Amino acid sequence: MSKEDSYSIPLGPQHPALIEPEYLKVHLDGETIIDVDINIGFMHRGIEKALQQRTYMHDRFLIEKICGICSSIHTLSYCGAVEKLAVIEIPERAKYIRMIIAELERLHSHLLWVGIAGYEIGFDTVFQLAWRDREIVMNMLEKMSGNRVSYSMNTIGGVRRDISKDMAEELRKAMDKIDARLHHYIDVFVNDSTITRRTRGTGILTGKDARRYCAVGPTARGSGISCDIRKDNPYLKYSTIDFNQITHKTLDIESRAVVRLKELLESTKIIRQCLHMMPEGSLSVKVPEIIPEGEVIYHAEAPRGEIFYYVRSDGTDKPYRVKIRTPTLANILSLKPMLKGQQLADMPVIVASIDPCFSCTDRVTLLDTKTGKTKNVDETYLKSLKRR
Amino acid sequence: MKMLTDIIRNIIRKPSTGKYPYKKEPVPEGFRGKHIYDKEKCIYCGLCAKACPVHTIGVIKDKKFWQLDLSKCIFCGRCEDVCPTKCLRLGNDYELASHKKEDFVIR
Amino acid sequence: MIFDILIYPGILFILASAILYSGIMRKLAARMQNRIGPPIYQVFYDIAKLTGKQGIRPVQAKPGYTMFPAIALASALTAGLLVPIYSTIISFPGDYIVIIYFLLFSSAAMFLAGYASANNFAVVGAIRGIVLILAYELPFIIAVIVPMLAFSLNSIHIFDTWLIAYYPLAAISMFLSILAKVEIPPFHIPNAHQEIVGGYTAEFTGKRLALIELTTMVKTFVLILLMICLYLGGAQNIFVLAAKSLAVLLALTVARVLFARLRIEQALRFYWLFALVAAIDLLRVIWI
Repeated sequence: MSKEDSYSIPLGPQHPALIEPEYLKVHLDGETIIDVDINIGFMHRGIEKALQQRTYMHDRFLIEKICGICSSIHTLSYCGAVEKLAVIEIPERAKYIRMIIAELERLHSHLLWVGIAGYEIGFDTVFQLAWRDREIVMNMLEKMSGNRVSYSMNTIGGVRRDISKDMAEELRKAMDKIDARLHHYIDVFVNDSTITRRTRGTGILTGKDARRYCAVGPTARGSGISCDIRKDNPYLKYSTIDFNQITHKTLDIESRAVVRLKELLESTKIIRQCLHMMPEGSLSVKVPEIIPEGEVIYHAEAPRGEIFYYVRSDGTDKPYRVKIRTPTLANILSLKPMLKGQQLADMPVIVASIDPCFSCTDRVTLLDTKTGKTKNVDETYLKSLKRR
Repeated sequence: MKMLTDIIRNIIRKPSTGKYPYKKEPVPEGFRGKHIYDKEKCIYCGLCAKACPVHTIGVIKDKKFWQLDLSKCIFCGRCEDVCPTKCLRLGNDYELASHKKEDFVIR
Repeated sequence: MIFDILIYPGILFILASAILYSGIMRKLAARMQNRIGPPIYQVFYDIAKLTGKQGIRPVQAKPGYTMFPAIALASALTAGLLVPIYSTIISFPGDYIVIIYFLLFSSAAMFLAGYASANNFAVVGAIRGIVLILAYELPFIIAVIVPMLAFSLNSIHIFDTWLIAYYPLAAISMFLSILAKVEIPPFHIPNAHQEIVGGYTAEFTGKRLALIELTTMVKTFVLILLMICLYLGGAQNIFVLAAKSLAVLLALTVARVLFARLRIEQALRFYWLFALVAAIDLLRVIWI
């Protein structure tokens, strides 16, 4: 059956399996997926353009709102890029605190994913319990930074809050608790028969396809490709820390789940080492408001994969251009080979298996089909559409 | 069947969720909630207005006027950081819903 | 007689306890998932709220959109009246077999309601439901007729022996087919929320949705009663009935929180395998 005369149903823009609006048009033959069209652009917010109209320090708070889950890794990369431009070395203690927050963020993001994966295969208990255990991490983050979601810890030139001795002790205890739960979840995802029935052999992404579609992060590592910015191009202090890069070679959803869960065990290891190695000292250095002319790239390993920042300065207090590539934008195309030939029933969990975060992904170019002219959607245009 | 141990343990265990609107969860120290503004100490320097990334603070020095619109605030705590007299700090109140617009303005 | 049918132990009793049991199940499941969960009477509120809501009929809805949910509830209630609990209401010889038909009719009416709403997701849900009927009816029928064949096929028999001890395989297959009949995990395939947006219920609102929800609840209760009548020694008074039915409900709840959803073809394979297993008991009854 060809794509044209097949039965097609929409997954999204409004669909309970996707929390954010995105449109996947699924072509079906019975319950088998023969093809899928991926349309993005429902959540475009014109942030890149908005960044050009604000000062570097104000941008830092807008950057935080790009993603609700990986709010720290975005500011980490942005602040890192601006510091590189201004040729500033931040204090050692600040580097370790940034790493701790980034790893805690990975912990809560992946635990959230474990819950979502359980929910997508109709296993509500995994969902409820994984999110319960995620609260341990969230409470720690709230205690350390004053907020559960927008931590606002990283600032240009360092970090804003310190980790006290008591807090460090509490964090160590929390990590022990999390470790015990993680071992349990690995056991559940590998051995529970109803889960493996849904995750084993579904959503296959071969290493070749992963390379071809430029997958990053756990999606690629689940296909046996080693790619981890923390190892390949260490930023902050990752080169001094002893941790393993996790890859798994069964290529299916289970593989990606195992990669994520085992990665978290490494994350708790990193946090413990950071707490141990953290020197005393100041938290931040002063950065001038005017950033010297130049351009710089910075990439870091977000929970979902490589995050890429390009910042260009023209010697004023506002950036000339900030270009962001989030990991989901790199991963979303690999859904195509994963979904072909699968059952409709497996579709939500396959889509969820790349841990999509659509609001950071979306970009829009308007194309007038009559004249062939393109138009970028920026903040002023979006504001003109706003209802008063 | 791997979750069976969890389930049995959970029946005996105290539920980990709370009865939120009836029983409020305590917030940790350093929480970034509704602002506490001390009019006596304020010198109307305008640093908070300049630092605010969403431009929600308005200051007129001559008229000794200071106001903050909570409905726009993102609770980043930047105003607290730059305040020279520490007359502005973020408190513990997080229940900000209201029917009246005036409730969102701190003067 | 009229009192028996309408109030106790008839329609009102079945409806009230079905809603109550649904509430208890939600509470139990919540505690097993380490939540506080909704209050037990929450389901009463939900139903009251739904009946007060305006029903929106989609433009593309086909004839029968309004009728099928009502038929589904009516047949489930009729099946409930036929179950000879500790007293018989309107039972007649061979009524267990009629119960099979009424429950099947109730399920079919629900899926037809899905077809009638003419929504893509509802149609997929209805197809899945029809396929699932194919899967679970076989073990269910075997499980119902094994006790009847063991005693007498054409009399009203209230079994007061614990037949689960004699025919454990048939009893298990009865329990498993309850899971699929009322769409409890791992067999909540036709109304899979994440995959097909609630399946056949997708286009239903207000009173019609209340009817569909009530049908599922009533079916759960009726099937629990049937399980007690056939395999768990019947109930001599209301306390025994409550104790036994709550035990079955607890078992159902454990299944609900313990499993992930299966795919439709996995469910099919699973039930036909179990039909074979249950057939061992059937053969024992027939030849031994």
